[in-house]
Amino acid sequence: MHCGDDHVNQLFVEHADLVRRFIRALVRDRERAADVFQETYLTMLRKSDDYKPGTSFPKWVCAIARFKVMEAFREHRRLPGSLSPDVIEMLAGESTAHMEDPRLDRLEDCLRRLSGSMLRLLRHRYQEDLKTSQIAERMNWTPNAVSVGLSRARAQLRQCINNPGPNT
Amino acid sequence: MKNESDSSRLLDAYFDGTLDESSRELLEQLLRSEPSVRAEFWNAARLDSALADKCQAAQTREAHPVTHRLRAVLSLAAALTLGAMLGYFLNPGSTTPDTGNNADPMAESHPKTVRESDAAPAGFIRETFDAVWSGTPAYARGAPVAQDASLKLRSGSVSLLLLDGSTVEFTGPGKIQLATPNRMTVMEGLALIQTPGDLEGEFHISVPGGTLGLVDGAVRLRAGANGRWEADALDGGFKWVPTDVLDAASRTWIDEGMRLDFDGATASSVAIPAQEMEMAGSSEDTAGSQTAERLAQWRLDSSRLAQDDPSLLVHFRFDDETAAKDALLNENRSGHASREGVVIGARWTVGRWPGKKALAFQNSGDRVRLGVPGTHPEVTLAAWVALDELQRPFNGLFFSEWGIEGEIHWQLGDAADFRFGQRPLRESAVAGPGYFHRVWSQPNLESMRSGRVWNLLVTTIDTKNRKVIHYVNGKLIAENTLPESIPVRFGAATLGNCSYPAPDVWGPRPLDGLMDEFMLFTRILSHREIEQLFREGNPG
Repeated sequence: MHCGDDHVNQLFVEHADLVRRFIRALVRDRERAADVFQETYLTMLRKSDDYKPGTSFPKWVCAIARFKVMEAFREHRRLPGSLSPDVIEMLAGESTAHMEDPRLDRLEDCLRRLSGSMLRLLRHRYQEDLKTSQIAERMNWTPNAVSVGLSRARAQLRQCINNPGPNT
Repeated sequence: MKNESDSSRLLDAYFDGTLDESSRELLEQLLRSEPSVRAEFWNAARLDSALADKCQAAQTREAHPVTHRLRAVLSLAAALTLGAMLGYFLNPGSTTPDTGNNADPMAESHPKTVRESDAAPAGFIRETFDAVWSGTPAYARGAPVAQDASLKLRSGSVSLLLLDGSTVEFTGPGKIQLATPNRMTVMEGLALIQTPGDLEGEFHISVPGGTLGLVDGAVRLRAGANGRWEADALDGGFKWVPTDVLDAASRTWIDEGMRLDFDGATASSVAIPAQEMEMAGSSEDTAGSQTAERLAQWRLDSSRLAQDDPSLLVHFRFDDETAAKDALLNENRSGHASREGVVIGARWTVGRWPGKKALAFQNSGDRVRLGVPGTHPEVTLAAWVALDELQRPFNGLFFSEWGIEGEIHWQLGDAADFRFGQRPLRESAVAGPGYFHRVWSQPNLESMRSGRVWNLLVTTIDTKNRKVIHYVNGKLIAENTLPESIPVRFGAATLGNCSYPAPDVWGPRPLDGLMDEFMLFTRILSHREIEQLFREGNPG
C-alpha cells in the first residue's frame, strides 16, 4: 500500500461531486456515466503516485475522467444523448471544465424567488427525473411549454445567481 | 455569428434530453467554433448538476427525517482487498436535521394526497362552524374542494368561496356536490348561495326535478332527503327550469320575495312569509347568529388584552369606528409607540366577521406607517391575515425602518413560507453584498392558501438566545436559530409592506391580502398564550 494513497483517496471523496458532474455533462446515458465514474476512481487509485501534492487535484482527476470518457466513446461509438466524440474531447479539454462556481452557493436563495409553477417544473425534471413529455402530461401543458418553462426558470436562476441584489 | 439565445436554447435542450438531430448538429457546430459557447456549456452543466443535487438532497430529507452524513469514505485497503466497486452516487445527502433554518425550496411540504392533479379546484373552504363531516373527506379551513367533489355534513356549517366569486353557506345534516365553480347540486340540507354582481353567465343549482339559475343575488335552499325542497329568492330572483322542459317559454322566473316549493313531483310558487324574510336579513344569515356572537366575544377579549398586558406595545384591532379613514388606532395609549398608524393607500374592507373591518394591501404603495422606538431583545409579532395569490416572492407583513441596526423583515414567500430576516451588525463579517441573516420556514401551503381564509401568523424573536419560532393558527411551524444576537429595533416601521425606499426588484412588497389585527409584544409569548390568541380570534 502506498503511503500517499489515503490522501489521494480522501481528495477524491472531497471532489467526487465535481468529477461526477464532469462525467455526466459529457456522458448523458446514466448507466454509462456510472461505469465511467467507477473506472475513473479505480484508475485514479492505480495512478495515485502520479499526483503531485499542492497541484490542482480537480484538474488532475478530470484529466483521468476525460480519458475514460473518450474510452467509452471509442467502445460504443455514439452514446445516447451525447455529442460527437470530437466535440466531447474539445469540451473535456476546456480549462473551465473542472472548476467550481462559488456563485452557485446562492442557488437555494435564488430558487426561493421562483414562482410556484417554475418550482413544480424543476421538481418534476430533477427530483422525479421525468422527461419533458411526461412533465407535460403531468401539468397538462404542451411539451414545448414545458421546455420554454424550464429554460425560463434556468435563465431566471442564472440572472439571480449572477446578481444577488441588496437584501433578502 | 453566435446567437446567445440560440446557444442557451440548444444547451437547455441538450441537458433536458430533447435535442433533435438537426439541433444537435447546430449545437456541435457552435461548440466547435465558439469558445464562449464551450464556456457556456460548462456553466450550464454546473447549474444542471447543482439543481439535480438539490432535488436529490430534498428527496432524501423527505424520506429520512433523521439525517446523517451519507458521504461514504472508502478505504483504499477495502477497495483493493475487496475490489469494491464505487457506487455512482456517493450521495452528498443532508447534514443536520432541517428544522427550517435553511428550509429547502425544492422540498414538497404539502401532502401529495390532498390533490393528485394540478387542475383548478371548484373552490375553497372559507370557514367551518362546528362542522361534523359524514364519511370522507373531512375538509379543513382553507382546503380546496375539487370539481365534482361531494360535501357531506352530519351537523354544523361550512362557508365556501367558489372560484367564480360565489359563496355557499351549507348547513348539515346534508349533502351537496360542486360540479364546477358555477354549478352545484343540492341533495339535502340547507344551502345559502350568493352570487357576485359581476358574475358571468348563470350559477346553476341542480335539485330534484330541475335546475335553478341564479344571475345576481341570493337564494336559500332547504332540501329534504325525500326529494322535497323549497327555494327562497332572498335577493334578486332566479330561473326555474324543470328537467323535462325543453322550450324556453316553460321556464319560470321566480321574483325576489317568492318561494318555489317542490313536493317531489311539481313546483309551485308562494310568497315567502314576512317573518322568514326578516329572519333572512343579510346574505350570511345562515351563520349570522354564530358570527355575531364570535365578534362580540372577540371584542371583549381583545379589548382586555392591551389593558392587561403592558408588553403589548402595538395593538391595531382595525375596529375603531371613531378613527379617521386614514388612521389605525393603537390600543396601547401609553405613548411608547405611535398612538395611530397612518394608512397609505390600503383599502378598508370586511374582516373576519361581518361588521369587523380590515385593510386590503394589494397595490404597490399600500402600507401603514408607525413609529416604534426603543431596542427590544424579545419580540412577538402576531397578525390575522387572509391572503390572496402570493404571486410575489416576498409579501410584507411588518418591516423595521430601512437601514437601521437591528432591522427586521417579517414577510411571507410565495409558498406561504415565513421569510424572516435581520440586518447583520456592521462590524460582523458579511458574506457578500446585501447579506441578511435569514430564518425561513418550510412552505405552509396547507394552512395558508388563497381564497381569503383567515389565519393567525405569529413569530417570536428571542435575540438573547437567538431563537426565532414561527406559528400558524396556534401551531408551531418552524424553530430556527439566528446567527447573531442583535436586539430588534423598529424605528419608522411599516405594516403590510416593506420600508425599502425605492421600488425595484427588492420592493415594494405589499402583503397581497387582508389584515384585520396586528400585535407587537415586547416579550416572548408562550405556545399556550399563542394558542389562546388563536382560540379567541378564530372566526370559525
